[in-house]
Amino acid sequence: MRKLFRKKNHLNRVTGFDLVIAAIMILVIIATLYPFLNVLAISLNDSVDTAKGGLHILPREFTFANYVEIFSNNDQLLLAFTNSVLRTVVGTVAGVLCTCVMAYVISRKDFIFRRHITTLLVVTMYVSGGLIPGYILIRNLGLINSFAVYIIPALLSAFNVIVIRSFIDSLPDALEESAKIDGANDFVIFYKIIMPLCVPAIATVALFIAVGQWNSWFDTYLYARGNVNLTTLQYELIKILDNASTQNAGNLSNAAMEQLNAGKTTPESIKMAITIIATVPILIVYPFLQKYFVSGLTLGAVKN
Amino acid sequence: MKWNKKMLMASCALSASMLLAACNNDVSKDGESEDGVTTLTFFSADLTKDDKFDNPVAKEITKKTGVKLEISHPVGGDTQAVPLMIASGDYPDMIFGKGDINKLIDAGAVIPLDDLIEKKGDNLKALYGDQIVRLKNSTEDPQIYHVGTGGVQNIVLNPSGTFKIQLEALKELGYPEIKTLEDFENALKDYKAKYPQINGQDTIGLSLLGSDWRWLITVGNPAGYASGYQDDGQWLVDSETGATKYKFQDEKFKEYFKWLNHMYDEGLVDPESFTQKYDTYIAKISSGRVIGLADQNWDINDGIAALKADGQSWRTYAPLAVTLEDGILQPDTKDYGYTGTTGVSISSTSEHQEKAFEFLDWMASEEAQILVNWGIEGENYEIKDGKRVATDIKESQTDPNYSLKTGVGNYIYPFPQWGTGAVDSTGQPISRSDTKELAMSNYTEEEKEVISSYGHEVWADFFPSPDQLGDTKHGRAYEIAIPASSDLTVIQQKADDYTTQAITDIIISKPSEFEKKWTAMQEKLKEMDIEKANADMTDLVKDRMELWGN
Amino acid sequence: MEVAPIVNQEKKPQKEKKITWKKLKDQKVLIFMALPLVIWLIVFCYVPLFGWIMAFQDYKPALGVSNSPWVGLKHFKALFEDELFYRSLINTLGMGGLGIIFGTFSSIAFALLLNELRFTRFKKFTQTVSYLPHFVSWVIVANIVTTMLSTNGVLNELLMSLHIIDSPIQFMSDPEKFWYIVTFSDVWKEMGWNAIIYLAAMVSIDREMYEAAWVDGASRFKQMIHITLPSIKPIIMILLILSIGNLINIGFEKQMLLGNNIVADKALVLDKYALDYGIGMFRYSYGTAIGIFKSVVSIILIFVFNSIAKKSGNGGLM
Repeated sequence: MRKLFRKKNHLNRVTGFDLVIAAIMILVIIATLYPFLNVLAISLNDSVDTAKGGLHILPREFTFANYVEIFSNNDQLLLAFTNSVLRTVVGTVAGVLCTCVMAYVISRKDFIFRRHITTLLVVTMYVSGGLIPGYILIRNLGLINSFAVYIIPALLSAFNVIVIRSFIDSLPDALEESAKIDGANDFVIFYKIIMPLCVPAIATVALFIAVGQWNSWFDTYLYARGNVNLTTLQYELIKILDNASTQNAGNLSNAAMEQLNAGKTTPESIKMAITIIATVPILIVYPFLQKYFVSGLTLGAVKN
Repeated sequence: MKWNKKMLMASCALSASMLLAACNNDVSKDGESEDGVTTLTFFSADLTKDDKFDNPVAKEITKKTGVKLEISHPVGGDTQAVPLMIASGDYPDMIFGKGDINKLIDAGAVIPLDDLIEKKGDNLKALYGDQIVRLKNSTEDPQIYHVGTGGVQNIVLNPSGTFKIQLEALKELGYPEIKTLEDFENALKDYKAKYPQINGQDTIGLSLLGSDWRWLITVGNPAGYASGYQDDGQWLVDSETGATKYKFQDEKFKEYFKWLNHMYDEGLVDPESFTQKYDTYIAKISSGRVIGLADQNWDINDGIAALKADGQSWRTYAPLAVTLEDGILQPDTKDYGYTGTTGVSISSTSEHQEKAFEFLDWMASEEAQILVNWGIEGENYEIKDGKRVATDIKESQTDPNYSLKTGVGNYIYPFPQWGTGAVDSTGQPISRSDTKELAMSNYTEEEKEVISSYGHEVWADFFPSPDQLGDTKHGRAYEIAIPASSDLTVIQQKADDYTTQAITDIIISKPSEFEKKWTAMQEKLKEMDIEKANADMTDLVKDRMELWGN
Repeated sequence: MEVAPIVNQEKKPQKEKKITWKKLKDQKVLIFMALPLVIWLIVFCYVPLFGWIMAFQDYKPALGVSNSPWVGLKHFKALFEDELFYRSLINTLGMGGLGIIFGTFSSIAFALLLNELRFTRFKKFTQTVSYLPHFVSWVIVANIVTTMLSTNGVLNELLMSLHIIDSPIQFMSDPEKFWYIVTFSDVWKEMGWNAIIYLAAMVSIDREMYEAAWVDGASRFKQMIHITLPSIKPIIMILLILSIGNLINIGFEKQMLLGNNIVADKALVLDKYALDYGIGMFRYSYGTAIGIFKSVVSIILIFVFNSIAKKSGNGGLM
């Protein structure tokens, strides 16, 4: 490490190029941080006051009431949170495993079924049977109302497989050759040689899968709502988000709307609090993954 | 890479144990359970919040009927819940299917209730009386498949009106009579001229919300109310003959939109009406600078609450019975009776059909209606001098979770209702919130001052009486379930999409282009086969009128 | 590097040969690894395609797939005769195309620049913040955009204070601007998230190449363009092909939320059309027909662009 710094002077010198980039990045930060701060501000603002609009990045009437409201009204939240964490962890591990295996298999240029499987895989991204056949399939497989329904139908995503395959392709062929000469079988090559070198790709795909698992609620709704013990955080939050008026647009008489709506509209502030609650866990976990795919100064050196 | 292996094993163990745990929990509830309480599964198409059926009123219902409801509902705006049910063949004991009732009938998912009503439906029979024919399905299949929702005797004390105007404006202008479009326009013009700014921001005459589905409520429907037509959705029905046509073909609608176009041209309509989002609209209302609105009460609750919290109650609104010209009656206060709105059905696969029916019939009894409307004696109301007096009105108005927590008002819809205007055997009102006394006591001081300045007691006094408006032989056209095989739905959807855009364009264009554009729109509608849709809809309406013995 | 061509030449004839038992035995480990996953693919991705039959029937949930009446190409005919279909198709392709061009360009540019940033903590912070809009729902983003572009919104105020315009521009009610509003909103929301893959690819680039270039006198900018960019070219190509395949699958949420009745003609996209007139109206057959149409278009696009990429020597997807 010290060697690196002592040797390369130019690395320590700040150039005009650096300043330009820094300036651009500051603009990016302002532009992308704003919506999030806006959501945070509204979530910490009194809900009646929020209706007046005009909030930017600071609350006008600060209050934690919105969060209290969400947590106090719902004794399912702890169970939902646990389930969300569980499905994210299990789903990510299982998903990453399957994705990597598949990616390795189709990256092998000598594999006889390579083209067939790759095509089979890619086409799945663009075809779908629709809601009803999908539902019938899950039902016939007996997955309804079981935890497995969160894991098994989500094991592979063609996109993620392609991402990892691309990384494997960028590795030198010599690696595989020498391992084979040493007598390793395919699985060992996969496990001991290729995978460790694909850490950035694996981290990226793990992130995608994890976020997907964490955010999904429609599958809970379709396949698992009969079992209260399977509820997930997003699902509970979406239920709070639901608004009688948008769902029934135009189909109800005004009298019925009065009955359904009286005091049941979800205030803007609560909606924002929900966004924050759903997103914060990801933000907390993210830095641990980030180090795998955002290069620091020294990461490249480690590899060599 | 020990890390990998450990994680692998851990996750295997985890998933195995979860699977096991989940499987155990999957043991289905077969309905019969402890203490002879039957659990009935119930799907409610309009419900958005979870209801565990354990609030005091629910518990009381269970005590009286021996039934506990396990309620499921759509989430996230899902509209496919019923078709999925049909595809899988799994039905709950009771279904409130709304517009999907025809699909359910086709699939044989729900049972006809005629026999049950005849034998055990005393309360239901008493409730609907002659209007029981309105529960029938169609002339080819005149059986009853659901027990309707929507009251039989209804009263409207706080109409939403065609337009609304700020109380402050009425006071400033000396409480004028605002009966026609012209009166309304003059009121806005006068007030705006006097006060070009309110609270430091520009005054807006009339603000609409035409950027999303609320176009129907703020732009489409007020035209119909101003023309004196009852609420039939996108249709106009001749109440005698049943002849139905698409409402945007009507001459009165043309007059209304010509006026609105003129208003826009004069700068009296908010230029952002068609681009602003709901939140912006509410924010404008909350700022107190919008003098006039054309919206329903339930749509602007947040804005009103903000105004009141800010001490700006003079900037809240009065509903107006504005019409195109004298002699036309604004229809807001009409009593439609029971309009045939689809109610709760019992599924054919249920093992508790009789129990379910008994439950539904009980819900129509006087005892049940008092319970679901007033709550529990001693907790939500007490008897003073022989009359029911509510004791927790304050909470009911300020706590948004009130009905879920106490159960009061939570189980009126979608079960059979007596209606907001009904009275019990002692002559007392069934509804807790729809009495004149209660309405009056709920008004703010400002509202009371305005209403009494006109010599009235409640907002409904400004509107025609229900007697003047008569009843309806066909209910409301938009509640008629359209058969899936008909092209009607497609033509109507296209016409709706088209007219929403075309009329918006007409409103924001120059008045000199009005005639040309309106005529062009009419031609386009004809090209889109609107006449066929009219004919089909007429058939459906006539069918219903016949079914109802008219 | 001399070994490679020979190996390749030897391999070629082998590929041409039929699948022999020996080959199967040799590769049995690979096959075992692949088999369960291929079965998974078939079960979860291909089996539900039996539902495509619905497009050729007048499907009714009550009758199910086995009993609904057969109507052949009736729904496809209806689809191709509908003026709304063509309008939605044009809008979809237009916005899809703009999205691919601007989206790809902005994500790559951002990744390249971010990668060059040498203040590590600043870099990590920027990267984290940049993807935050991805997690904010479109409902909220659309609200923010609409407010900022309104007549008394931030953008108009800025332009007026700089004297570029005299009176506010009505951005949201101009149909011609709509496509661009959607595209830039999407870039704002997704640029940071989409850049993650490119950043991950850049981690593995050999540092020594930069050393060599610096010794040769190349500026930082030149190094970025001639080393970093080409090194991630394979992943760029692949993501590009995949995006092109999705040209027609751009969803409808952002167009619906950013649109209004004035710009409706430019805002209708195929997925919204399918929702409104297909499944939303319970016309499953019609909706399925649209779905099949989209799948066919996507697959054609994928195969065409894949061959183009391969033929031009850029490496392909398959």
